Amino acid sequence: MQRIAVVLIAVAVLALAAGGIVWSKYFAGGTQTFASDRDRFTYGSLNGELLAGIPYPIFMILPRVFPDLVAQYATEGYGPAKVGFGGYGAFGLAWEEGQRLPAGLSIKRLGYERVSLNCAVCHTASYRLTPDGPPHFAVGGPAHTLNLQGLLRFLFAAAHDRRFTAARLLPEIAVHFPLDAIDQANYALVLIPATRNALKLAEHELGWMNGKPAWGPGRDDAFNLPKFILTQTPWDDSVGNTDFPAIWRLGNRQGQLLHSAGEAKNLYAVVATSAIGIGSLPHAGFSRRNEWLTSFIGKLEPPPFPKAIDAALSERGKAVFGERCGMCHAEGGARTGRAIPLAEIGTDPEHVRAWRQHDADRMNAVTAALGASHAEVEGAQGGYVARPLVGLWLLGPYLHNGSVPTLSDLLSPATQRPAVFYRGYDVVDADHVGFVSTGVAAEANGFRFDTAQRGNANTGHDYGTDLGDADKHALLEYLKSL
Amino acid sequence: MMAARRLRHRLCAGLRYCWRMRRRFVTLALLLIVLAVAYLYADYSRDEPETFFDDPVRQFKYGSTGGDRLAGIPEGIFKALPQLCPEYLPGKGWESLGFIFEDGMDRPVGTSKRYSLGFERISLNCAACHAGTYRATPQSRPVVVAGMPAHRIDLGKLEQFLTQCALDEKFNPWQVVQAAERAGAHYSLRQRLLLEYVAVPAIKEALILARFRFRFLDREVTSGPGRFDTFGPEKALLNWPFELVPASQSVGIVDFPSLWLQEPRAAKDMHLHWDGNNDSVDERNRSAGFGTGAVPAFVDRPAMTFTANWLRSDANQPPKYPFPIDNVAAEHGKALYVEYCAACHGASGRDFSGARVGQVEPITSIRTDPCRLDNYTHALTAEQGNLYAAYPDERFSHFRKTDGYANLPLDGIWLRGPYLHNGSVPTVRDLLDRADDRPKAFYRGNDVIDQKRLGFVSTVAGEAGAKFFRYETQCVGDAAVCAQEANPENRHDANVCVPGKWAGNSNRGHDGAAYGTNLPPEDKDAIVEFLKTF
Repeated sequence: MQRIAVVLIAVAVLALAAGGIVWSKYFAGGTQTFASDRDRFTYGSLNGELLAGIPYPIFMILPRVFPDLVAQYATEGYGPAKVGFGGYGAFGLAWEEGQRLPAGLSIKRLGYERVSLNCAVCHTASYRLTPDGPPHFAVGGPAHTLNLQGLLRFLFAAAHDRRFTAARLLPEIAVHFPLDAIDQANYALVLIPATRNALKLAEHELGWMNGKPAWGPGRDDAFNLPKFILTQTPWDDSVGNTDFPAIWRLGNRQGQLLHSAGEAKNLYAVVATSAIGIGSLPHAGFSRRNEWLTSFIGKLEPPPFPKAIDAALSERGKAVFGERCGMCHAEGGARTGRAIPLAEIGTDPEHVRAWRQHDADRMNAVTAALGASHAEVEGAQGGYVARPLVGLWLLGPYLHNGSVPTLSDLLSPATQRPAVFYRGYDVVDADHVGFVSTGVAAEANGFRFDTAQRGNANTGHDYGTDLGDADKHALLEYLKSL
Repeated sequence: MMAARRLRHRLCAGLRYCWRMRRRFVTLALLLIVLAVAYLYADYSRDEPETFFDDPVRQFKYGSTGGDRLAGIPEGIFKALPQLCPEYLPGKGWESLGFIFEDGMDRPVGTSKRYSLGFERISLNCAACHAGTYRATPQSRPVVVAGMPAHRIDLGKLEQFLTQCALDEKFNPWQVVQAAERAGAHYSLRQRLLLEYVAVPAIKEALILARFRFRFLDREVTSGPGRFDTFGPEKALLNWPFELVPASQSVGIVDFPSLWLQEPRAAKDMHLHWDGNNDSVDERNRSAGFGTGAVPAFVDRPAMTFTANWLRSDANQPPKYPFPIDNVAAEHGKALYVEYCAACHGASGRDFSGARVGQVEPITSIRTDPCRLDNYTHALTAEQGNLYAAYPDERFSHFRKTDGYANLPLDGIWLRGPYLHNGSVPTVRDLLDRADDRPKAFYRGNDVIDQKRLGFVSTVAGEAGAKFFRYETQCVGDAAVCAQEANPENRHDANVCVPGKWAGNSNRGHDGAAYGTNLPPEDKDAIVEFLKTF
């Protein structure tokens, strides 16, 4: 009897010790603290790391092990001077000095530190005022420099590379992180192989994007992502490439349609479904966190236009705006926040075609089954939503697919708009309003955007193109102030 | 029959005896194996640096940063290398690369020693780049000064020497061990086997990899003694594909700075490094430690803290100028200094008050060679936020991209020549001349003080058979030959680095009426006299 008792106690002690180790290596931690709401938005976790978290020590050293792959995928489709070095910064992420990772990447410890995405990755605008000037970052602005597709392809290529082994990665990690014997075994036997396999799985789930036109910087295939991944709809040949929108002053959009084609009717649903999109599961804290996000972006303001505005000219432009644009784009305009039918607006139709009501129904069923409430989305509303204009000067390139480089071009007839231009170069074009999209520097550093590709048409929105030069000039001045 | 039975009986008894013996033997053997493994483990995990905690200066010169845990080479091999590969050294021994040997010490200033992974291992420490010598005359004995720029050490040549030796056929396990033994090392059989089958091949591979990672040196002008591309190693650690870095961002060579009086610098939150990219003394120390191999998981924290504290103590001061000073001229110079220099460089060699001391001067006004400024980019700043990421209190968070070079206090300025961030102006007096009148070429590496012009003697080409390094600020010589070079005059008119053979070496800037270069010669001489008191 005594012997049995001793054995039992020994087993219990061992089990406790093992449990303690498992707890400390896989679950301990879980809190983040931030100095401000802005930092919480920019670097805070949406709990996506449970499903889609990459161990930070692995994530951090990947560009150092695969510099050749960074160079290849950060520059594909870009001009000759596009930098292919600088780690993740090479993919156009908004990286503030002194931070561990760029905006939109959260690091949270659950046993080990895990990297996951948040809203800020696609909604932090990075811009410079002169070619040699320092970068500025606008929280909530569109991440027009972010080459998300290139970043994903880099990670997938790394996962297929023979170097993605513990033998190569562990010494690189060990230079920066103190690893005890258990950690080493954990990385070698569990975390490194699991990360590699998870990346391959993710690649498989994103396989559909390979046959479609490149996203290019500042865009993704917004609704094909949930369609093919979350709802596992069979792949089709639709192209839904869409610019990342700004998320400023969204509290004013109550009662309006949201998303490019009116795929949602309230802000909470947009936030909740977007959170699910980056791996955040509708569990404890999901709705509370989304409510915080909803209220944060509800009041978020754009930075003011960084150069002087001619007040008198702008005043004249305001009159033109009221007359020609206000109905659809002014706060409280009759059609502001409503979908303008394709036949009327005439812009590229592909996005609308990519997401139908049955796709929305399917997604609603999935999100409801996962436990999310008030997260219903709609099918595309047959056209594109006329948005109130907030921080317009940072929203270039324009239209839902980013097919028109500057506002000045948008005020020209479609036939006179540039058929090919370069996007993702971050220097502001204050005269034409937008980003510098032509010339040596833009061609060297930017992504070659071809409006002839599917989903990239720069047609439509043929409004104000008939105005005289003086009126256009005045209108442009006023638009800077929005 | 009987005989057979007896034989069998005996045989069995013998076997039983054997069996009993074998059990003992097996037990004994197992015990021995366990003891051997325990001994090997204890020896392999023994980690003991040579320390001099009773003497901070000695600890600074010979103590460890922890870099030897990563980059240390066995002591015997370190001592043997100059004899193994003499043809790749400019002269005899480590001294020929600018290393300083002091009496009573069998390894040079700037090296550390630590028992780690079963060997005494040697690596570099802070003093390799921050301890130097001076002489009064060519006949005097050199005086070693801790904290002064190591203006004679040639790290570029050191890197070349190590690589060429590693790639030589002689660098095979047997010859290396033999050379080490000839240099006085005594190895046990175990150590010899370890060296021959593990350590020497590993060192060879590491040197070849380091050569590749240090290929950024091939894209810039030869640094010569006392200078190096100091953020290059950090980019190498991040494994940047240097081929993709634009030529205008590829030149980062700077002079080694002095390390005196860190506390007043810290107290005023001065912007440190030549371009003022960091205002945290502690972070700067950790960053500099990378150059010695002290990466986050290997750094020796107690030793680093000890030295950091000494650097911030009052004891860490430059020596007083040991030669005569003309007090009348110095007094006159003081008035001029106050008028022209004090706002940016401090009231004196100890009083660092002044509105712009430690602040960054925009490149458009200082106009010195812009290459080092352009070499440090936002992309690097951002990635540095990942360094020391496993240690929340130590993580780099203070690095910032700036738009110019920082105004430095001038403590011990007499030991800090050549001047400007790239060491392009040999003496203080030359710096007070218009940029066009400064020497276009001169010699670095002589440690005899130029008492007249303040700095080191820069006009002598060599001494005792050894050549000094000829520093060219631009293409000097045949105009026709120069015309074939890109940017032969090494101009950077737009204050942006223009690539070329001499890029990074320009002696331009810090020039014009505001900088005192328009003053009459006797005024300039007076300022030089006053600066000797710093």
